[in-house]
Amino acid sequence: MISLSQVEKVYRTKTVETLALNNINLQVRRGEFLSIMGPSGCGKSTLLNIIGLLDEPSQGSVEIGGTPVRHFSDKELARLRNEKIGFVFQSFHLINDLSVVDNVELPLLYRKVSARERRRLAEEALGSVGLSNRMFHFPTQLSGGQKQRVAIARAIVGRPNILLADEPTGNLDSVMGNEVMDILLRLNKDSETTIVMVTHDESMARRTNRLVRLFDGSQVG
Amino acid sequence: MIKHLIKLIWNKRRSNFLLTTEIFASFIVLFGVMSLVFYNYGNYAQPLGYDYKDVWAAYFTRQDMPDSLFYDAVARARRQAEAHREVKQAALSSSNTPYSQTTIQWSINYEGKSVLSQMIMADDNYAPVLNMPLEEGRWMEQAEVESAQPVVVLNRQAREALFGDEPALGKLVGFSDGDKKWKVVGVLGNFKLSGEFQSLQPVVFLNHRAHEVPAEVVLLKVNADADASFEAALMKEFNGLARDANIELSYLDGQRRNQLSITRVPMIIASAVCGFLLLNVGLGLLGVLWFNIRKRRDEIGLRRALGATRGGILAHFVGEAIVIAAFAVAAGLFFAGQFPLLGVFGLDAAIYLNAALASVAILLALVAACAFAPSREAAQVQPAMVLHEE
Repeated sequence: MISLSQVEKVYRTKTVETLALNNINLQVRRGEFLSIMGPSGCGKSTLLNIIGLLDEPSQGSVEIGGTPVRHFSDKELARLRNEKIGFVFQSFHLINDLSVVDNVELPLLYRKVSARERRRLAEEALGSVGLSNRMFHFPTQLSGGQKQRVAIARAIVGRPNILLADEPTGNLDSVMGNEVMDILLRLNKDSETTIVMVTHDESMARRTNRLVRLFDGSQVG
Repeated sequence: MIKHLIKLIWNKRRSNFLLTTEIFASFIVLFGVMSLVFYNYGNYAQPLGYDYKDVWAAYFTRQDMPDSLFYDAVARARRQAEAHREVKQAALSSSNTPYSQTTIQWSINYEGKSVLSQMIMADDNYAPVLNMPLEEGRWMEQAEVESAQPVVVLNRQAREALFGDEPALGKLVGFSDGDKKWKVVGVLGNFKLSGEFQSLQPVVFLNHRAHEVPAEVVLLKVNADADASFEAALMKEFNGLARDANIELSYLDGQRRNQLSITRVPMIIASAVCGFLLLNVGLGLLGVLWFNIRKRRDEIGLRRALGATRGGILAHFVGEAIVIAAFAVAAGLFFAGQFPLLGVFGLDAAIYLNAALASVAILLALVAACAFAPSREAAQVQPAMVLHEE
């Protein structure tokens, strides 16, 4: 499903060159739940951004669903992100001026889906995270756990094959964190969604199929 | 997507209130200026109805002269002027000559219908001097003038107001100041006494000899070589004819320039005020959009992550600005719509419609232009940078 081969990422300024990722080789199978761990600044988020096509590697190749994406245009990358990949962020990134259901509909705005169908899919996604009764609330009226569940609903509304979660439980207490983790595990099991999750929490990582550790930009385990 | 933008702007209506108000105020001012421009342009586009070039006007003002001597002196001035090689033709007129800023208005009546009209006392040479083409009938003749026949010539607007689709020639009309009946002998096209920017109004030309107050102005159609020395010689002759009268000579061309500036100056001032307001809107919009885009970088990153292209982000922010402007313009259009409905200023509804359409187009174009640069910056936001949080 996801294949990274000899991926390297270097950030260059006029005076400094920083190696963020070094020779990463990673294969993630369809339906796998992979977690990535490592200390702050080790390149976890950079790796997730490259898998999510939000950033380009300096060297190496990335394949999504068997398709190399190196020469994809901005438009092709945007379409691939929209159709194949869902994102969940540590700080939720909900738009406070839109209601819960409008936030969940967002990915569908960037593909040809009728308003009625958008609403139906958004209601279904909210139902799957247990937030049907909060559809017309605004994000500022929700708890942290509820916000992350809305973010998950938004990530899965377009039925992507891949879900990328960047420390999804990082801003939540343990109870809410476990609730969110349960939802991710259920998604992985029920719909065979491939999930790559960056986390600092060993207990969360242990619940996934496989753990990859990074240190100073290199894969160490 | 438009529905999404409308929803987003509506939900943020409080923070957009000031900008919306500023655009609304600009729309109203712009609508006013555009109405003035369309009104004046509409008038300007209508034929003037006469030729002012190489026409001089000698204004005789009676001081202590008895009536009979004064009017006789004016008539002799016309005849004497025609004897000069430099003068092609001369005519007599009342003081309300073209561009003179003098008006004489009476009501003209026909079978119970009364129309307020501009009244001009004229003689048989008036139409040839001003090169006025007739649409129907003829101009008053020398014999009619000399025998003081009560004949009139109407312009098209007077004819339509009095007779509608009926023929006008041969009809007898009266005036509010007496019982005398005047025969219509001809109909002109337009006659815009106050110049190019005047609206079309009814004008009636009367045989001045048939009226108790005859003409007191001599209009002269001169050759192109008529110069200041000829003007001086002519004035000397006129002063010799009417020693106790005050005589002033003006060129219609010069009077026209003065008249045009009277119309242009308010238009220029209004346009400058409007331009300043539009500049304010443009700068305000730029400021608000730059600020918004810096504040909403994570939202931009999110939209990019969810499938928006760079072009989509640019279109989104330009679209947001246009939707804000559309809210303001919609309120402005409601206000502007009252002008034709209530008949404010009595202008044609088409003027208000054109002014509203032009104002909408100008404002939306301005907003789109101002939104473009900040929106392009938004499109360049790197999602990986703004979405990452350690």
